[in-house]
Amino acid sequence: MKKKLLSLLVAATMIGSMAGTTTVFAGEDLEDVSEPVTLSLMVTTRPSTDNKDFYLDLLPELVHEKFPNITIEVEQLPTDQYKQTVRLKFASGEGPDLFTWWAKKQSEDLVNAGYVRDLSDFSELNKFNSDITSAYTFDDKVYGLPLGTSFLTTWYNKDMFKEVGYDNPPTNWDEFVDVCKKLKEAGHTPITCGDNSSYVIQFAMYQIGASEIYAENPDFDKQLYTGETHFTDDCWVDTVSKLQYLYDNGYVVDDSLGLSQDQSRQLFIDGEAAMIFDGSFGYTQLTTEGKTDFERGMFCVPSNDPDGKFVYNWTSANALFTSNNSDELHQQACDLVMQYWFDEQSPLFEAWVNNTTDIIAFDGVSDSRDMINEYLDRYKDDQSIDNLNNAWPEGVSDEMCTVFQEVITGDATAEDVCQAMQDKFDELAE
Amino acid sequence: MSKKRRNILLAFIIPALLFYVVFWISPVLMSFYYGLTNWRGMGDFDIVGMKNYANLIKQGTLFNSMGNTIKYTLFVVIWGNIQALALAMILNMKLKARGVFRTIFYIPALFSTIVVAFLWSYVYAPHYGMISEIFNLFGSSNAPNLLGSKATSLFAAAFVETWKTSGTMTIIYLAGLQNISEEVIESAKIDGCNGWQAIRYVKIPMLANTITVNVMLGLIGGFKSFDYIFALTKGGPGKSSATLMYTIYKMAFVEMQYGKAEALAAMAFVFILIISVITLTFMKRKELEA
Repeated sequence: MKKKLLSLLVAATMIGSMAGTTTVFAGEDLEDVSEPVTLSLMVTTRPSTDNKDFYLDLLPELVHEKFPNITIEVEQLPTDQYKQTVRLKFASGEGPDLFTWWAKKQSEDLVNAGYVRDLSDFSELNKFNSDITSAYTFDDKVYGLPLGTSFLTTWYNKDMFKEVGYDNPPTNWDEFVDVCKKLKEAGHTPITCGDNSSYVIQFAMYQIGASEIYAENPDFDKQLYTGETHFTDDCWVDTVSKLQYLYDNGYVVDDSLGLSQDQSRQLFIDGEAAMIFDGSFGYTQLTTEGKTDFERGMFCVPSNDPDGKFVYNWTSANALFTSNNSDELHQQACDLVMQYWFDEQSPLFEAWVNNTTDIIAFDGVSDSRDMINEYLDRYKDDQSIDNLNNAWPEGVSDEMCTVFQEVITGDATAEDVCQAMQDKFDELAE
Repeated sequence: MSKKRRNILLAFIIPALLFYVVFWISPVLMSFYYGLTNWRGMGDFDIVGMKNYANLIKQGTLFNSMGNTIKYTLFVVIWGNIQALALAMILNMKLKARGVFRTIFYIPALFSTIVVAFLWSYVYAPHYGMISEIFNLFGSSNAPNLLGSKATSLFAAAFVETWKTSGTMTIIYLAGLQNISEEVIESAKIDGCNGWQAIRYVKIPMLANTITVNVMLGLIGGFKSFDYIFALTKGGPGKSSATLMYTIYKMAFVEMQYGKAEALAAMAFVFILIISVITLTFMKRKELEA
């Protein structure tokens, strides 16, 4: 009997110890890895502030404090260089252990190449917003843990809008054009755009395209790959034409092609333009005080008719991925870091929530910024769409911006933009 | 030299030669190979023959980027040399505080490219940039939008390059000018040369070697033009300032078309090689004539 009890006790102890050490995704008391390990983490460069940066400072510090054997080395790069560096590192077998990456089509090649690990078994996965997680799901397997969401939006000067009779943001294209016209007549510059940084053209184009293209056909992008739809279809030509209309009628600041996005943001915060096409990610910069004090607001450009359906942009910002090529010890360390990071009780989770610029899509966490909450609440019953380029091969959005610059200079038409996008799509999707 | 001794000496060259072959010759040859593929930077790829080359010609990418590179290079070589030669001649005069001026004119060369580009983005900025403010001072609001115009953006970026390199080129010219003896200039004056004639018929011919060095430096800077284009215009508006190097970068690292970018790089290599050989031969002939 004593022997039986002893055997049961030993067996129970073994099971208990296994549960505590090998199943890192389910453990409450996380144990450090058995030997020192250095994890590489890559992130894109973000605006620097006087405070400690989450990725550069807090994450390595807090992880090392909790797990003395784990050291995190962080490398940050601007977006273009970041994309090329991560891909080349993986191609040469030196991919980072942890890194952030974008959704859908943009992460598809990394998944298909087998570079990133399936995280479907991660115990905290159900705490992430499933709609957002689906952007990182391929063949029913989840490869990225969404770090948040963001939206493209139009920041506006509420005081100027009130001056021309708009207490609320416009709700359809006619109202939007009307407010631009009235602002111009009142001597204000309606919109500032930093078109020298050509990527910002996307900010306006995707807001207009949301209602113009996806209200009628939410599957437009999927059908691009089957040949059922084309960028040269009327909905896209109308999208580009509407943006062109704003330039042709002098609603966009003069010489926008000579302005960088930072310079354009300065014009907005100095009260020298009533609107700027930007995103929720510009919150810190665009709420900075400029030469004049004014109340800010946000709305999505309503390209819909008065009785038409409105669609707005809301997209996954990026997600945390982990390498499939790391050795067992590194993978174990990565698991510990992720488990600790997304444990609501941990100081690391608190640091992440307090320092991220994204809108966190995690159970029980709400954004502390009133403007963001008011915006999402206003559109909660409307259909939303990801950033349009998430569904395209890399390079199509860049071609769109490049040729649209020629529309601004008067050397191309909306049809030229659409044709160039289709040609680039055909070339890249081949 | 005995055969044995020659072989021993040749053996010393082998490590350097191996290094050169592995890290220079092989990548160049491999880039020709990858130019024949549809490699996307990751995963498998197929041989597509001359398709990349054909597309680069058919889509106009090759001629646009080559044309922009030639314009950029001509501007850098011509304006850069005129500017540096003029500065060197001024700084070679017997001025008070000559050392201070020489230091001041060399300062741009000490800044990093990105700092210079950032600074000039605010000089060119419409509405509140330095040029715009100067126009405002004279009561005009029609300051040119140099970076935002297809006609000027390429040259605006090239001008920044000449500003940055002016210090280095000026020093080279200054060294050349100081090698011309005072007696030669004196005798030219006795023979009846005025100031301009002394420059045109005495100083410039005697600076032939220096001009070759600076022209070649300008050519190299122009052909590899990337950083100011990347920082100031991103190849725009449209593709009006997309140079060869910027186009290769964008094709490879934005569009992930590594195979096509390698094809363009191979064509750029041949093009630059031909232009460099022609220029060097021409300049050497001019040196001999001088």
